[in-house]
Amino acid sequence: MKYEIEKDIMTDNYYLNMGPQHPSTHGVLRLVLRLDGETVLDAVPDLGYLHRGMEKIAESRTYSQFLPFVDRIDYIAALLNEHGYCLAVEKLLGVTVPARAEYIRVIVAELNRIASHIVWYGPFAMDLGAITPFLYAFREREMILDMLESVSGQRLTFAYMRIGGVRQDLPEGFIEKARAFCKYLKPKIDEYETLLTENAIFLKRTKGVGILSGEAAINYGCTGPVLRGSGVKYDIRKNSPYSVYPELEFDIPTGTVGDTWDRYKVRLEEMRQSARIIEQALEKLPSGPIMAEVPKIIKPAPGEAYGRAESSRGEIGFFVVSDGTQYPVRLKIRTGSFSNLSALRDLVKGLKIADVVAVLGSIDIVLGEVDR
Amino acid sequence: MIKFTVKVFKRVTSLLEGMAVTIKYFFSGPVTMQYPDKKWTLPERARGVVTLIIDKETGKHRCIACLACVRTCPNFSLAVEVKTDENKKRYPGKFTLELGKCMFCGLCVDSCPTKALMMNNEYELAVYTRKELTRSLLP
Ligand code: SF4
Ligand code: SF4
Repeated sequence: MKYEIEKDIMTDNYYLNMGPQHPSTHGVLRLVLRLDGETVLDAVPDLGYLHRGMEKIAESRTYSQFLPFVDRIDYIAALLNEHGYCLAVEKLLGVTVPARAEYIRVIVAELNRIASHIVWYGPFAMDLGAITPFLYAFREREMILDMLESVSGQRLTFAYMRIGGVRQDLPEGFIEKARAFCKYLKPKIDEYETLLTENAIFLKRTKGVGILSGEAAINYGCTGPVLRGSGVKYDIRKNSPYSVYPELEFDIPTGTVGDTWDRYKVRLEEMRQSARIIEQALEKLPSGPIMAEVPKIIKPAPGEAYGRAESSRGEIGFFVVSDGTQYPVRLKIRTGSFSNLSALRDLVKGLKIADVVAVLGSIDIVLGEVDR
Repeated sequence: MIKFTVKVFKRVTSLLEGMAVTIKYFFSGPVTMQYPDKKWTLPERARGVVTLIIDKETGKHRCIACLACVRTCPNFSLAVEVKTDENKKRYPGKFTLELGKCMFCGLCVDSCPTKALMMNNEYELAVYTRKELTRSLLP
């Protein structure tokens, strides 16, 4: 029997709060969805639940004291943040970091990037209903965290880099362990791909969902895998090289369409590239000091500097203004997640609620970074 | 029609491939640890709670109450009460750490001129009251 749908029944648009306690908003993000049935007409992100006033805190801390706070901006990729911050202050001070320290920084930062992408991969698959990948991915992350713990002493908020170098040299046996891990990781990423990439359900949920054009991505200020997923070949490590990245060989993976699947693919490929970078850096690791000559009390000359690094979620930048005292006058933090999230509104218009979860997952936000 | 069959076949095999991975791990040992029964051995550098290094033989610490650690701590979690003995030598009368405020960053350890501080391997730090979070570092 066929039912005639009565077209003249008036349906009202209604509002639905997704979050701030919703498990698939990845933190305390509140999305105000305007819905027609199950179709999303508008989605407005409501931010600020995790605002800790990082920029203000910086004004009452010395340059070295602020470092542990930097870890807590994007707590999933703490070392990448530290790298950006150290670059900014070193630029302000005009110190050159010893080569060995820079290589160590790159090694640990890239390890952290892999760990961070794993934290994205697992929950993203889980949002789409696949629980298995999460468990496998976190097994590898555990190994990375163990390694980073042996280097820095902590598992999440490392506080390992220092202005002018790193805190301690690599521990004994680390190089072999890292090498073995890179070798071990590559087949594991293939395994991740077997689980999802061609999976029929996964394809249906991601292909053609939430398309972001390259132009729109640039206009929104998106960076990182979100921008590259839209086909724009832009990576700070290549486009405005810092640290020792120019001496290392790696590719920048890009997507073609800019849909959820492309962003997924770009991140997986980035993990492979990170492993490649680590292997090369371990090979080239020079000997020498791990700290530059930095005065004990850091008092940069009045001036300003902007240091930026390619975090796993886009550009992380620190704009530091000094007036010649121990404390920065102003410290502005530019984070990738914040700009990437602004594209969400356009991406989810016209999709179903379940797809909002997929798209939000593919943008990979960390609320600590969005709200600071 | 053929196209459709191929498509269905591809879709089904894609699911089976994933299943194969899962089944492979079904026969390998567990990777998790039965936590409270078994425990990790932490690496040497693990940063647990800040403590004063106490010399085993003499039972003394090396703190000279210079307040460098107090000034370095980004979260103001350390407090030292300075006292002087008859030789005008400074020593800490009280030395407290507020664990609730500590970020386990290790900056205090790095700043100490006499290397009197260290971070131990303690990581089960839950307590019942707020008061217990404040610890005295002196023996
Ligand atoms: S570890 Fe860091 S936060 Fe904790 S007492 Fe030492 S300096 Fe302060
Ligand atoms: S820095 Fe060292 S010597 Fe100075 S007060 Fe702290 S623990 Fe004592």
